[in-house]
Amino acid sequence: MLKFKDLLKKSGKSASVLPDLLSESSILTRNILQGLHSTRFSGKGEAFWEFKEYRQGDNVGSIDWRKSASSNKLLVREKENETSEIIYFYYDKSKSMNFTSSNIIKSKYYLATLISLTLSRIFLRNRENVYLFNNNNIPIKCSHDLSNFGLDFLGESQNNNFPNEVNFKKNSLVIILSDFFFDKSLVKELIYKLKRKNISGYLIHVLDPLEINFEVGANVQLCDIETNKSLLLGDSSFLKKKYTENLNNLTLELQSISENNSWNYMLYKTEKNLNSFLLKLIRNILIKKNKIA
Amino acid sequence: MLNTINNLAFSNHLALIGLFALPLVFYIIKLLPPAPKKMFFSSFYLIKSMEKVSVTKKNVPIWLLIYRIILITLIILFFSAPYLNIMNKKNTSNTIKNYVIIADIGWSMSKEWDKFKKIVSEISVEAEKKNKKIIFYHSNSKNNMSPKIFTSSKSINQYLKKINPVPWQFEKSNLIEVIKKNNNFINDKTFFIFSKFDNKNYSDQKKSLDFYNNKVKNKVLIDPIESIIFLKNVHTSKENIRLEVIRHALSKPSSKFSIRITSIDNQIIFKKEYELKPNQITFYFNQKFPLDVINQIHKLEIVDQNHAGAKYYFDDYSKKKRIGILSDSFQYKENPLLSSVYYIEKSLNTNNILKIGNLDQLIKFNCSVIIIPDKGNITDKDHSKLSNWLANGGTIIRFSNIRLAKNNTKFLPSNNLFMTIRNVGGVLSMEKKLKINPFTKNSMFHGLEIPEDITFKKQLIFTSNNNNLQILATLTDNTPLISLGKKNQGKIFLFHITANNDWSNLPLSALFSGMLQRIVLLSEKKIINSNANLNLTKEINSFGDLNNTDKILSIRDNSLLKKLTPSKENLPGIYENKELTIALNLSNKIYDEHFKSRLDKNYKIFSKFTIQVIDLKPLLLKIILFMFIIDMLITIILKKNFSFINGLNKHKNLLGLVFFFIFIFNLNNAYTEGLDNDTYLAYIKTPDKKLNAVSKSGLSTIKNLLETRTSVSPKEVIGVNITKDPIYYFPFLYWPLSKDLIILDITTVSKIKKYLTNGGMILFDIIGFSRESFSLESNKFKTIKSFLASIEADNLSPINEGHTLTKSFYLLKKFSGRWDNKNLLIESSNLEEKDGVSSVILGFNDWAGAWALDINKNPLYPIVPGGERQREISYRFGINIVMYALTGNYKSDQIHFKSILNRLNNAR
Repeated sequence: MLKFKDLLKKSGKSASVLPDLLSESSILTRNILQGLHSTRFSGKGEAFWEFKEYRQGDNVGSIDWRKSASSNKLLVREKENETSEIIYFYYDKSKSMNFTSSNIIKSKYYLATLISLTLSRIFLRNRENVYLFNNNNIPIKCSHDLSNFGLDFLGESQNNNFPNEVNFKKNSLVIILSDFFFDKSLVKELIYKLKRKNISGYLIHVLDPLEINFEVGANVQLCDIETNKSLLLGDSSFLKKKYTENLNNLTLELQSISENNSWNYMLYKTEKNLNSFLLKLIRNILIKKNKIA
Repeated sequence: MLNTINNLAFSNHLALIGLFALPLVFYIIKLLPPAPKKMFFSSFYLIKSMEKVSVTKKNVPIWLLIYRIILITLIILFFSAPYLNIMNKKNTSNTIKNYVIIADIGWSMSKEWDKFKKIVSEISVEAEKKNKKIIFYHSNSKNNMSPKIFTSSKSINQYLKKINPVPWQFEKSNLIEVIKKNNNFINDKTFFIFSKFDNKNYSDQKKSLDFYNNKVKNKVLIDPIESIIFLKNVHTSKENIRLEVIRHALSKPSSKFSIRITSIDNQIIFKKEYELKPNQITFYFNQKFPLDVINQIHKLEIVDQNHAGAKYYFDDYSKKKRIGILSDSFQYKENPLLSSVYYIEKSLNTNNILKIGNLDQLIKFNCSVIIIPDKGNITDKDHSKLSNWLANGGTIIRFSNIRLAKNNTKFLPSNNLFMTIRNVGGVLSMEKKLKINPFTKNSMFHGLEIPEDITFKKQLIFTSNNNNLQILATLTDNTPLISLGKKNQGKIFLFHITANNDWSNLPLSALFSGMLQRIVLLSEKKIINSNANLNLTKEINSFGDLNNTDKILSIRDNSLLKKLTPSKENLPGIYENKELTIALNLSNKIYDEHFKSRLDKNYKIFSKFTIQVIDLKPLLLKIILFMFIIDMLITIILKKNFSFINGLNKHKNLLGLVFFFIFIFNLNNAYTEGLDNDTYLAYIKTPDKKLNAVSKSGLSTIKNLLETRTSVSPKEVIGVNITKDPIYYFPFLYWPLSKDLIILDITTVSKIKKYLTNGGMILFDIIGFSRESFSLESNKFKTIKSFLASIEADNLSPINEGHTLTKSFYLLKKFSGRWDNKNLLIESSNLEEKDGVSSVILGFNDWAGAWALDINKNPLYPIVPGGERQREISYRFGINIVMYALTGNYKSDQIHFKSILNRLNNAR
């Protein structure tokens, strides 16, 4: 029976992570915005963007006569593109995400959430529509300062089911963060369905260093966080070989799924610098967007 | 080898039974291989798909099994306390009941005290190995007849740390009585440890040794003192120190020794090395010292001779003159600066015993010098008394004045003088200013510095053709300043000026004091009698050091004291009353006629104890420890603990491991190290754990707030155990005072006082009392009041408006905590010493309660009357108080006033 007291304790524990997450993401956002010079794109918006020399085909009404008079050229006022894009963040809430191999490294779950929140902040600044999935896998639109982000988003789910594709709007961008330690067909199926709705996106594979090198040592009793199964290992070298092989297969498969559906695959190792990874990711997204535009 | 095994024996046979358990241990080790390390992993998803995982169970390698069996065997052996018999004889240890040590520990034993302790310790080890009791008689116990009984060498070693040899020679050894009383120690093995230098009386010593030799069956005689050097016949005359250094030894090669003389303030006055030639027994030391140096001498010693016979303490017989100042009236007390007595008193008071009074009193006081500051004539009644005293070797110092010039009195350097007063350097005078002529090399004042600014207004001049008259100091026109006349054995000094500053400003200068000192030193009259009892104030211990004493001992007759020999009844030491200090030294009183005679011809005397058993326990313990560490390393390598091995690889060598051990051994230091490099917030731990948690959490909040709002970033919050931990590293201590107060011992109290006077700050927070009145005077705060008084922090007054605390960071009008009480008390006395910064702040508002957060970072307690504003104020108070502790009165500087006023105006 679920006791109310336990529930309170549990919520308290995750709540204590929340302020850390929010503050760290806002610091990261600031750093990244400094790294990116400009993230906006020219288009039909209200806000002024830049002056550009008139070329045939431009709207005559948009010529700034006053500015043109001061120089010898015909200058056109360009406005910011405000056809905002819809971006979904989905991060895996399964138990295995809570794993971390050492005290120094943050858990995969924490980092996945942090990446989502930081990117959300950056996109929200650009007046894009950002959706995060709550504990019931329902996309919730984020307010401009993320003030509606709360405990509903920090739960733990028992299964690895993705949200239903009905929840995604057409032509949007979806970013999925997970360790993908579950049935590959689930991913394959989801991406295939999304592709049909002209949704592109990123598969971000978040892995702990131990999950990559599998250096568990000899004479070890391994315990699975998700299923609580345990395994006695005398000599792990043989197992290590197998494990690395399987892991390589998994990444290759994820890569091929994303390539086939013109998605992107990126691997993030939790011990690596988050700042540079985020910068790389966001540049990647912006270039893609510009190409589309 | 076989021989060694033959000699192996065990003290604790029972422990050997443990060896039977070995097969069981063998079985257990074999059965239980090293346990697997438990490790969590995120998901078995990738492993799951594999066919069958190779699960192997490790067996214990056979070599490790043997290694561990050996280790356990050694541990069992350790508990059975093995030892080796070296003297390979089947002795009659079964017939021996006890080991008896009889020790005569007199002054010379302290020279070889460590050797003595070693001998006793070695004997006791043997006794312990053979399971015998040790019965220990020694001469420094209260009752010589009742021995101390020990069962282990450890306990006797502990006891030896507490006792010292006695600093005198024995009249009579109590050996015979002890032997008689104990029925000749028939069943015991006895050791008599003595030194032939410790006995005054040779025949008595011989008698007791004979008795011992004849009556006692199982005996060992030990005399550990092979050679000794001591002082004899120390004698100080006017300018000389004479003494003899005596050496007694079996062999007398040439050897060097140094004599060192130190002053009262422990500075070395004299140190020189001398040599004793082969077979030389006596060395005569004769050294001349300047008069005023002799007066400064406190101690004379032979360097590195660690006993009372090599140290000599000086006393009043060699210094401190008694000086009388003749004055009938006590007027000088009312107008001191005009009186001549005042200047003389000032000049002489430091090194001498002064008495002011009429002639009868002074003669009774036994002065060696009488100073007559301003008397014109001396009455007839006094006349004969004074001339008698003078004839016996007294010294009179007189000063001039107008009356003296008019009356023709006796007691001047010369009789029948015609005296006039000369006015020097008046307004109309053509003469240059008069100065004092530099002192010649033969002058008694040679070496004294003459200040530039000494002037003379008047001077006494007399004409005389008396050859007896000596002029000791003159002015630049060769007129006299100080003259000396001798009468029989007495001397009369005359200053040709007044003793106050009427005629000259000489009495104001240091030169005046220097001149008087020199004159006083020349006086020779000896002190004969002092009536008050002399009390023992410091004891000379057997090592020749002065110790404070708790014994009450007084001696009536000081002349007798000089003749006494130190003994149990007359302890050597410093005896004092108000006027006199007399030292009773051992070094002058050693009877050494019999030292030359050799006892070892008649008796079999050892100089040390030959070890008969070797204890194997320490050796075994070392081996076990070493093997244990090796075992740990083996276990780590077997388990392939990667983090450990990686760590080793990173450091490339075992340095890390070495540092780890150093760290473990220096854990205590590690606590204090590093604390001095950063700022820490600290609170005092109370017996109440809940309160501690609140304090810790509260200060953590303040720490975080300081980090975000100010440039102060404290490293950590530390709980301090006030009785044990050092507190000097913390600029500020938070001390919650609840109903159960910490009981402080004296060292803690002095620690806190030092902390407060040297810039520390304590915030006392009174918690858990009813909130009716907040006067410390009220009854309920009685315990707290006395607690504060114990650390001298009870002088508190309410904080005034505009105190620095109200503006050290935030501008505050009140100091809310969980409660919103306006009473805040601060220390208000002695602020001058602390730059005006109060080091004690006391309030009733339970601040930590307001600051503390629970795990979910919500405030732990509600606040009264309430409102987030009050909590914010309490945070601000926390920040202000840390700022106040760190910056002191900085914010009260006028320079900040402008901006503070601006800020206040804006707020309005």
